[in-house]
Amino acid sequence: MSSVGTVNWGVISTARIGTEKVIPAMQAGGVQILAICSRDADCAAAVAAEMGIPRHYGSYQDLLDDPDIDAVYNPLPNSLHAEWTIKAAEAGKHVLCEKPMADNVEQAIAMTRACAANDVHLMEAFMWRFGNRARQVRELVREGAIGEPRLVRASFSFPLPRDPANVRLQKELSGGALEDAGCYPVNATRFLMDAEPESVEARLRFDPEFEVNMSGVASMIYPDGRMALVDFSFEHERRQLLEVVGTEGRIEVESFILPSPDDAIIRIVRGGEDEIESFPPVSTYALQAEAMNRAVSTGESLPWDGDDAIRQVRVLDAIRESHRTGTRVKLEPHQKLT
Amino acid sequence: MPDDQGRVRWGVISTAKIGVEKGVIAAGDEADHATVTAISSRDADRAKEAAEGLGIEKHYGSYQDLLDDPDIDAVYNPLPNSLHAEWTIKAAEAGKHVLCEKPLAIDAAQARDMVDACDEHGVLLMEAFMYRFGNRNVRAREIVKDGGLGEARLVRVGFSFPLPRNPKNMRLWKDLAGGALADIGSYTVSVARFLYDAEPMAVDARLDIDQEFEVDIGGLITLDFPGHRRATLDFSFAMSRRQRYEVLGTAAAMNVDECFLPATVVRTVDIERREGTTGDPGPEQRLAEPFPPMNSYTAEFEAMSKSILTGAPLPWGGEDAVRQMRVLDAVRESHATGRRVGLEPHQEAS
Repeated sequence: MSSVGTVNWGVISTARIGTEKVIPAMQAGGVQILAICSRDADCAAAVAAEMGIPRHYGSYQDLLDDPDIDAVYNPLPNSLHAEWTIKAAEAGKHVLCEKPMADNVEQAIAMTRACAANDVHLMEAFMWRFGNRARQVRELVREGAIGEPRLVRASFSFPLPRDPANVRLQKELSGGALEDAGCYPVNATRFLMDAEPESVEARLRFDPEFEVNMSGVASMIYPDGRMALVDFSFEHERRQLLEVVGTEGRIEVESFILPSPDDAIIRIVRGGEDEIESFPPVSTYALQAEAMNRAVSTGESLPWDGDDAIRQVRVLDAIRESHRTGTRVKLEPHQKLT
Repeated sequence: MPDDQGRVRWGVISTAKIGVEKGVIAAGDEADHATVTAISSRDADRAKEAAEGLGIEKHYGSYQDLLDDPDIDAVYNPLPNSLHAEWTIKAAEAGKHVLCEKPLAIDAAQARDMVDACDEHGVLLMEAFMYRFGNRNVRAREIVKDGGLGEARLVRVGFSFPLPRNPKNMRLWKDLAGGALADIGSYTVSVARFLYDAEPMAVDARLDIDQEFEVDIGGLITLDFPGHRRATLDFSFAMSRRQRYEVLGTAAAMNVDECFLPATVVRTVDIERREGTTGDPGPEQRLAEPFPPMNSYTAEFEAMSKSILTGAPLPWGGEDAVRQMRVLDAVRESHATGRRVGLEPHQEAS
């Protein structure tokens, strides 16, 4: 680290999620972005100048070779997550990797092993988990505010223009609605159940032109017969809705995924009465980077690590398998990597 | 045939709670073209007591005696599920039209037999999904049909309530064909078919089987409809009370809360849409269309009575109930096999 307590970040690529959302949020939150890179040196220079990033590189590897960089944010297209996360680990950099962390569980395991071998942290960038509301909903569920939780339903959909240039619609970059949107509701069910699903049934709809999935639904059984239903789509009206139904009430959260400038609401329904809890907006992108900074500078453990990402990717694999085979896919209890 | 005021004369088979205590009989009697004139029970005293309590003219100490009454045109059958077929068929044989509680039968084969019996005796048969006559549900279906949401792509339905684990409750009796799928899951399946006005092509399902009662107490269902349309359904006897559906379309989303049971207060159909393009959606608009309370049980009796009087076709007859039962059969099969169950296009009896 260049100075005590400051973690210097590098960003691998000028992907839009980074330049438009995550980097500005991290900078606004006081996170030090030291460098950015692109395979196009001019592009890297232009973005660096525009965003006030001190250094820029014309290759990803050059950024990884900069000894002043402690951690990297990897917002590359999905199919490149594994390669560059492993290279970053080998260069001794901690990695915050965009979701989905990997194309399959084998990749996720390889990435986690590489980070462990090089003694660096790895986290999948599910920023929504750092929000005050997400934490409050989990807290309410844990303390029994709705009795015993029995069902989590989560949706994430938005209409995506059919633009072949969009990475979300490119098969070879591992695009698709499950990968881009569906991973969030899956993550939400795992987060709120505080457990892993035991079985998964799922249906996807593939686009004949793009050959990626455009929408899907998945139902999951969690331990003790608890149920989860998720849906996701590029093809219909916007929806980000989370619902936890317990034996004695339910909690509903709208707009639970993406950061919003508006106050956020939790609706708790118990005994026919509605209660509303309101939360000021927070920058979940900055919060997740700060968690990483604390882990790097103080050794504090991350709330979610590579092992968590392996569990998450396992469920996405099961969804694809269930769709392909038309069967219920069972998931064995997860064994933490040693 | 009808009474001197032009009303269909209804008899009620049994003093089941849904009829007597939950108000279905009283609601039916309110219909302009219906009058409830008789009730029966295997216990003559109970029949008499129910008749007096509800102001019903005649009472019988056996179901068959009621069916043998020539001054009854139609019967309402709210017996336990496992008895629906037997008494619906006997009613048909006695020349009575039948409004039968849901689920119509134990399975599609039994439903087929019931429909055939009613056809053979020239009587109408309807499965009592009264919610289909509710003003908000009628409107919601119209919105879907008219493209008010763009193309409807996903229907999400949830129906749950905490059922006390009381061994006396017939909803938990295996030998009376109880269970959450039959009792409330059937609504979630029905409303998906109702809103899309189509039949599913494939079913994935998982039921939560109670070890003590050996009936399902909840479950999850995914239905695939033609045209890339899907439905995800959840239902449970072991969760807090809720009944709602959402329809997500390419242009807008619709929510209907408290959707199944008759509304006793003003309720709304809610639409969320954005006026902008997909790239630049603009602010969300929320529209809430209000509807006055109405009794969908009354509307159901009225619709059936009118069809009996005029010969006009029922909006949902026996064939619809067979289709519905086919889906419930597929749900059970998918649960049992762990596989997606395909459904062939339905062939009506010729």
